[in-house]
Parts: sequence; structure tokens; C-alpha cells
Amino acid sequence: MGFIKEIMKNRQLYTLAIPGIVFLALFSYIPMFGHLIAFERFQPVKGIWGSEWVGLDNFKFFFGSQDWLRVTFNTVYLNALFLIFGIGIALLLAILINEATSTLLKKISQSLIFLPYFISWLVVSLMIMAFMSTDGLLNQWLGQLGISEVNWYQNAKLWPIILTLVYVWKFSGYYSVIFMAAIVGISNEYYESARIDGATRLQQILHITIPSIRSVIVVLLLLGVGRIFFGDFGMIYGIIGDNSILFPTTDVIDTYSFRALRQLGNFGMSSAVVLYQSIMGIAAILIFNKIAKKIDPESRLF
Amino acid sequence: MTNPSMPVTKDKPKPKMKRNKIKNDQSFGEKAFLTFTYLIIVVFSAVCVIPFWIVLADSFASEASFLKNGYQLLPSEWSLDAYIYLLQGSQLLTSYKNSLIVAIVGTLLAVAITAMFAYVIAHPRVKYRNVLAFLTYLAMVLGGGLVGFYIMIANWLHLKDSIWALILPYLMNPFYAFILVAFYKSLPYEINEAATIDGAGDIKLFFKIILPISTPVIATVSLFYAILYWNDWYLSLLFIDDHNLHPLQLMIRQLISNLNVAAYVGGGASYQVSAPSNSIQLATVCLTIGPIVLLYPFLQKYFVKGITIGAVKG
Amino acid sequence: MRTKKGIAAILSIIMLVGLLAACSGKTENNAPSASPDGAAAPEASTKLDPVTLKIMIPGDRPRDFDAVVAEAEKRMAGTLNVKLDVVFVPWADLAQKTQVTLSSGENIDLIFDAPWLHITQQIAAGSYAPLDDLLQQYGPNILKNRPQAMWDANKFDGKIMGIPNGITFVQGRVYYVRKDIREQLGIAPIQTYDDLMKFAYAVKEKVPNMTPMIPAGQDVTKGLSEASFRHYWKDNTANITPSPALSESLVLYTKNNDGKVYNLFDEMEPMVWSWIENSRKLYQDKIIHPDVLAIKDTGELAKQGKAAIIPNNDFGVKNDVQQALKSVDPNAEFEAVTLMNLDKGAVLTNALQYNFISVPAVSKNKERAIQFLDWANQKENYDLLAYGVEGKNWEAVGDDQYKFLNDGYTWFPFAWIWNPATDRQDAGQDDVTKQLNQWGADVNNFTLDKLAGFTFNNTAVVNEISQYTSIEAKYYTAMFNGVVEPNEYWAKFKAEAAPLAKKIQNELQKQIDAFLAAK
Repeated sequence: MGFIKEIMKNRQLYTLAIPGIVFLALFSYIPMFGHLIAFERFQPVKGIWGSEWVGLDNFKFFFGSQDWLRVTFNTVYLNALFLIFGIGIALLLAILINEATSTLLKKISQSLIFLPYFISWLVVSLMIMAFMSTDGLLNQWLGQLGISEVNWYQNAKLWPIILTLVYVWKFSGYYSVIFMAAIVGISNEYYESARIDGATRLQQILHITIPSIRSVIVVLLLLGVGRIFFGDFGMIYGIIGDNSILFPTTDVIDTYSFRALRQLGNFGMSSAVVLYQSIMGIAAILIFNKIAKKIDPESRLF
Repeated sequence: MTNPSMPVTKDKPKPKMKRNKIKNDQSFGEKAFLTFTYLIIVVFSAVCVIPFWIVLADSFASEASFLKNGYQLLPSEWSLDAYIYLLQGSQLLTSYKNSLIVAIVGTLLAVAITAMFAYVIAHPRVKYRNVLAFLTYLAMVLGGGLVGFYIMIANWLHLKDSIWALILPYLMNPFYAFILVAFYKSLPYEINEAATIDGAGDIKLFFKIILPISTPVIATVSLFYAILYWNDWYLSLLFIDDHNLHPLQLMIRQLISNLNVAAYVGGGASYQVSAPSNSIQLATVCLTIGPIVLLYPFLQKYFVKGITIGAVKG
Repeated sequence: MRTKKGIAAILSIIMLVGLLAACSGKTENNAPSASPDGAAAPEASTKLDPVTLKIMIPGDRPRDFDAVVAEAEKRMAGTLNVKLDVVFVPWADLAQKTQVTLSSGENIDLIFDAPWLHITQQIAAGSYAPLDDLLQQYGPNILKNRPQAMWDANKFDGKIMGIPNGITFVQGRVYYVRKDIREQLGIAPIQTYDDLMKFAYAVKEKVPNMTPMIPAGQDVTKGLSEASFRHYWKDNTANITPSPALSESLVLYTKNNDGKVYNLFDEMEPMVWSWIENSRKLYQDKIIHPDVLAIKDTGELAKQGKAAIIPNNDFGVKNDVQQALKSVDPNAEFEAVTLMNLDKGAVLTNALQYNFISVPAVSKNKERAIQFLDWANQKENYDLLAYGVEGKNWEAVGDDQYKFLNDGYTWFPFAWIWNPATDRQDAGQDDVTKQLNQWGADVNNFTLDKLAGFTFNNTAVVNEISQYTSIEAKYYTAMFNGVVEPNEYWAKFKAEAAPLAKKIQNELQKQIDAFLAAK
């Protein structure tokens, strides 16, 4: 009864939500039956309902080898680096650009930092290769400085850093737009009264800007946490490819299962891996949402 | 580092003036801070623009010059070969048109739907807002799986070879919805109550007051949707077999993946695909980026002078 | 300053692009479906109901494809009355797109598949229709154009599940060698692997800024890794060959055509091991490029003139590589060197073709699909679909060669109609290459493998194969290109993969025994 009463009371609001709800039902919830093929030996001619059930068989290939822990760790570790530094640098850029007094500089820099987002991974990987191969630009520069050359592509330890730098370069412009939009919304009177109190710019940033957009920061972090078990296949496979020397630090769940299944093309097995990633993601978000709720109830997602 | 006693936007806003820079605080510390700010901005912008410039400039390099010299700030031999190759035939124009239609229609619809939906999730009076939020988030993480998604669109909705197959599946991106939610939540609570005072309904309130004061974030989300639609090749790969409906990105993908056939074809087979040149890869980046780059400076004005809450209320 | 220039340039591009986009509407009308009944008046007696065949093949739509399709439909208008709806799938997404299409049961009439893609899995899943009867009835030209040995070797469980599209019984294998540098160094034409090594070391010593050798380091091209590639050469007298279960991997192999599967973990085959050790030496001596595993396209470095030797599939030097190299340095030139044993009967072949075209089980136009392919297997129609419109896209050189006149049409008969009877050779190739191609097309030059016609059904060991594949990817190309210390890596590889390899080997052997017993 309470349900109907609530709907009636706020019927206008719920009306606004109808297109969104229909969308979620059609394109997310109804197709979820597709996850069933993770538990069957899927045969197209028999369809999802007619194929043979095999229980957890499709998960065996992934959990059967010792590599699943390593690739899961790599996925989470790299994504955590990307998330923290990606959002951190984006925030820094948004704040600094906002502080700049020259409108021209503001506008131009905003546009420029967005550009890398559009360069495809294919081209990015070719440029990295030109830059970092053994006879590449970077080693030539090092040579001029009298530093002996580094075999970048043979040194797995360096790649989490390199990938993070590439990620920051490619995406911080994108994320900074969100922060800039949020900063614009902050009421000016806070800054004015702060200035009257003699606060420096740094103090204003720390005590007004950041706290004001705190919920946006937390939301972005929480959104990232839900995807933390999904590696960026386009990026990692584009840059690392099949270079096995770099696998120990860069092989993520998505590249691993791609490689394991590329000869088999088995939908059941690939669905099993995706389901594993999703469930881990849900677990992660439930935990982090709870933490967010404790620290700052306003910022939680749900 | 944050000081909990400092006011945040939750507090009751007062009517206010446009922001004025107070110029009398040019202490040494402030100057150092500004210099630091400018330095970071300039350096980071340079790091972003130089590779892009190289892509742009070298897309005009002759193939021989590229093979000889690799990436250069200014190619030693200029040539329009890459663009001539790409601009031949009518497919590019057809694809461009398709991409534009999808991006424009898709963005308009998506922003409208997402903005409305997010408002409901953010509205304090809605009892089931957390349930809705959770369902939205779950949809983002769990998704439908490829097979279910494909069967839904191709077999049940019969959208194969329809331009709607490129628009509908992205109409509400949970990620963007939550950005909007975060923004709405930061609005003063009183705004939501204005309706009761004026006697207007929630729908009217949303369109008359909430949307106009949300311009910066609406602009942001519009930009993101436009990019999402513009850059997508996946939906068209799955659902569009008719090449007359192929958007730009799929056309480019097809062209580029022909370059690397060997990387996809196993078994030691050999395929005689005449590889398009390096400069074509770069030229495709420049061609695809076109309208989107144009969109950004256009939307920028909404960031700089976002309509302030006070102005609307007053 | 540079920034400003950059922005100006970006803006001008945008404007150009915007302009083009704006006037795109006009060019829209010439859709491919052509006019439904504009062409020649149909003869009532032989005319079949009009039908549109949907055909899915990999590649990129050639610019002049519409004109070719229009011409083909015109020729068929009186009789077959077939319209063509050809869907080109990007190579990068071929597996996913074809798989999802077949999975959803969509109506496709002809589809490309291959042993390296998922033909055996799709056959096991019941996606394709058997073609034996249809071919007997509707496909005389298709049957006639391919030698009986090819049909026999390309059946799946004794049935024709796809029409093999290929012209040779062995794939050509060569090294591209920089002829100009070889001559400059005063080295005689290369006849043996030792000659090749002498050349490589001479390059290392005397030619700066050039990598002597760049084998392939990517997992999908592991057959082109330095140690693996050597099994094609004549010193492999035992005919050590990768097994049918793990494509291109020498970990499971056959030898001496004895119907047995061997396991490198058990046998430590001295010859294979010597190849691995030699590649290690080459890597340490900086003969092999230090970033060999990171290089995705060896051809690119070859074009840049930075590589003295690269391995390649196919006889002869690809025209685009040669041209690009010459554009960098007019004096530079690649020659193709094969070390295969050309003696009659020396090379073993399973005659398995790399490309097939199949009829999905769900197709409602199976007869018409085969009728169309049969039509396309007639010389003049084949010429149209393979090379485009004569005089506009290509010209004939004699009876069996062709020359493209422009890049309006690309060569892709392998995807649907390729066969030895109607194929033309590229006139641009040198005589040696043409001879080698002819040699490869004649089945009498080879010994037929006992396992010809055998296909491995992997259902019983899918888990083992997927686990094994992902482990192998960590070690194989690194070891076979000498990037890592072989003994140490081999021990690790063995510890992880040996039990899996054993299971796959046993299953394979079981199936082979059953196959041979039935023969």
C-alpha cells in the first residue's frame, strides 16, 4: 500500500523517471538472461534455453590455472593507479585552470588537454613504440645526456608507471571537464568572504573549492570502483600486445581471457569471466559505498 | 585537509554579484602560486598538444618521408595522398552524415532522458531513490552480456540495419546519470520546495528552474554523450550490415584493421591486402575528430559563465 | 607560435570536414542495390524467382564494389536472378561478428570461415549445412575447379562443410633478404641457412643502423618466430610439423608421417631444441632485434629499410613492401629466399586450405547460394568478382595473369571463390615466384600426410586447451626468438603446461588412431 501511495504522491517525479526505467529494463535487465550461457555449453542452434547445462564448468579454465590471481591483482592494481592518478591530476588541472586569471589561457588550455582523448589506441601505441623502442627517441635523448640506454620493452617493472602516465595523459582532460563544471557552480560569496578574511589562494582551494565539489569526487571514485575488475582491453592490448616479457605486471583479466579463448571462441567461457568480473565489482562497490556512507552520507551512490 | 566548519554549497545562498578578482593580494606567495599554476598548465597543455600536432602534421607527410624519418614536428616532404585516398568514393561522406545524425539525435534524446532520470534519483522527496540508484548502478556493472544484448536488439526489437540501433542502446549511461545526480544533490534543498510555494508541479519545476541552473553540468554531459555517440563503432559493427548506414568510426575501423590483417589471422596464412600507408592512420584520427573538437569550444562558454543559483532565484 | 599554427591547422581541417559533411547528401542516391529490373529482359523459361543472398566475408568494401555487383546482377538477371548483399566485416572483429551472427540464428546465406577462425567449433555446434548433395546437384563448376585431392583433404568428419578456397597445397615460406646489401657486402646468393647466418653477421658488423633479422614476436604469428620458422626448411628431413590440435605450436608435433603425436616436453626433440638455442645465440649477438616481442608489424620496419632479413609467408616479395622500401632508398631491394626442399615428394602436406565458405544451416536459400557460387566459379564471372571490371579496374596479361590498373578494387577471392582453375597470377611477380606458385599448386609435387582430412574435435579438452594456450603465450614467442634463457624458461613452462599438453596429446592421439583405423 505504501508503495502505491508513494507513487501517487510523487507521480510527477516518477513520470520523469519512466523513460529511464524503460531503458534500463529493455537494454540492461531483460538481456541479463544472457548471463545464463556462463553456465551452459552454449550451442547457437539450440539457443539459450535449449543448450546443455554444465554448472560451473566454464569457470574451470580461468580458476584452474595459477594465473587468475595474478591477472586479477594486475587488473585491480592498474585500475587503482589509473583511478587515483587520473582523477587526482584531473582535479589538480581543473583547479589550477580555474585559478588562472587569463581567460584566453583558460579557454585554450581547456581545449588542448582534451585532445589526447581522441587519439586512438592504435596511434598511441605506435607513438609509444617510436618513443620507447631500444633505438627510439627516448634512448637517443638519454644517450646525449650520457645515460646508457634502457630496454623499455624488456622491463616489466616500469610498465605500471608508463601505463599510468599514458592514462593520465589521455584521460585527465576528459575528467577535468566534470570538475570544471562543478567548480563553476560554487557560489562566489564564499570566495569573497574568504578573501576579506585574508585567505590565500591555496587556502581557498583547500577550504572552499575541494570541499564544495567533494561529492563529485567521491562519485567519480565510486563509479570507478565498480569497474575496477574490468581491464581496459583496448589500451592494454593495444600497447602491450602479446609481449610476454611484460605480462607479469600488465596482463589483466580481459587480455588474459582474450588470449586463452581466441582460438576457441567459446561464448560460455568468456561469459563466465565477465560474470566473475561483474560480481567482484558489485562486491567492491557495496563495500565502498558503505564506507562512503559512514564518512559522508551525502556522497554515497545509493 | 578539509575544514568541516567551512561553508559548503548546501548552505542557504544569498543573492550575489558576479565574481570579481581582488587584485590587491599580490603578495610574494600569491605570485609564486600563480607562476606555479601557469607553469603546470602550460607544460601539461604542451604534453597534450605536441603529440596531437604530430598526428596532424604527419598526416600530411608523404609515405616515403614518414618511413625515412618517423614522427616529425614538421614533415620534410608534404603530401595530400592520405586525404586523397580517404576522400575518394562516396563512403566517407555517407558515413559522416550517418555519424552526425546519430550524434545529434542521440545526444539530444540521451541528455533529456538522463537529466530527468537523474533528477528523480537525486530528489530528497522520492522514497525509492536509493532503490533506483542501486538498480542503475547494477545495470552499469552487470550489463546484459553480449548474447542477451544482441538477441534483444536484433531478434526482439528488430533493429538490425536501423539507425535506431545506434541510438537507443546508449540513451542512458549510468555513469553520466550519476554525475548529474551528484550535481543535483549539491543544489540547495529549497529549490526543490519552490514548487509547493508556486503551486507548480515537479515536472514544470524541473524544466523551468532545475534545467536552466544546471547548464554547466548539462553541457558537460552533452559533450560526453556527443563523444560517446560519435566515437562508437561497436553498435554498428553488431547491428548494421548495410554499408550505407555505416557510421564513420566503423568505416575507419574497417580500413585500419585491414592494415594489420596479419595480427588477426592465425595459421600462417598470408593475405594480400595492400596496406594503406602510415599517414592514412594519422589522417583518419584527424578526420574523425572534426566536429567534436568544434563542439567543445562552443560548450565552453557554459563553463565560464554558468548561470548562478542566486541569479535565478533573485 | 607552434601552438597557434597548430590551432589554425586544426580549424582549417574542421572547416574542410564540415564543408564535406554538408554536401554529403547529394552523393547518397547511388545505393548499391541497383535497379531491380532495369537490366536485360529475362527469358521466361530459365528464370528463377528473384532472391537476395546475404554473404558475410572479411575485409573492407572496395570502392568500385557497387559497380561490380551491378554488373554481376545484370549477368545473372536472365537466369539465376540473384541479388547480392555482401557484408564486409573488419578483420579485427571477424571472430566476434561472425560468431554472434551465427549464434542469434540470423538469416545469412553464405559465410566465410576457416580452420584458424572457428570452423571446427561451428561445425560441432551445428551451424553449417553439409554440402555434398548440393554440390553434386548445383555445383559442377565448383567441384571441377578444385582437384579431388583438395576435396578429400578438406572434409570434416567425412562431409564437405565448406568449400575450400585456395590454390596451393603448401604455403610459400621465404625470408625477405636485402639484395642490395648482400651484393654490397660481396656475399653470394643465399642457398642455405648457414649462408643466411653469414649474411646476418656481416650486416651486424658492417652496416650501421640496421637490424640483421626481425622475426615475428606476436603470439598469433608464432609460426614466424625464428626457431619455429625453421621447420619449413629442407634440413627438417623428419618433417617435424605442428600437430592439428594446437595451431602453429611445435610443443605438440608430428614427424616422419607415422601417425603419432609427439610432445616436446617429453622428447626434447634435439633438432627443435637446437633451433631454440640458436635463436638465443642470435638474440644475444644482437642479430635479432631487441624489441622483437614488442614489434607488431615486421613489414613496417622492412619498409623503413631498418631490417636486413624478415621471414614471410608466400613466395615472392610483396609489391607494397618493395615499393615502399624503394621510396625510402631507390637503391634498396628485397629478394625472396626460400630454403624449402623443392624435390618431388620431399615436402609433406595435409592439403588443408586456409579459407572456406560455408552455408549456414538457417539459410533459406541454400540451393541458390550454391548456384551463385557455381556461377562465380565460371571463368568470366570469376574474373569479374576477383579483379573487378575489366579495362577499368584490371587488365588481363595472357590467359592466366592479371594487372590491377588502380586501387578501386582489392583482391579478395580467397574469401569466397578462390580456386586453382580460374585463378590468375599477379603479373608483377618475378618468374621465379611464378614458378614456385605453380609448383605449390600441383599436388603431385608433395607427399600426402597420413592425417590429411583429419580434423581435431576439441570438445573433450576445451578447458585444457584454453589454459594451455594462455600459458604458452607467456613463453613460446619469447623462447623461440631467443629473448629469454631457454633452459630456465623451459623448466618453468614445463612445470605449468606439461600436464595440460599431455592430456591434449592423449585426446589427439585417440582421435587420430580412430581416424586411421577407419581409413
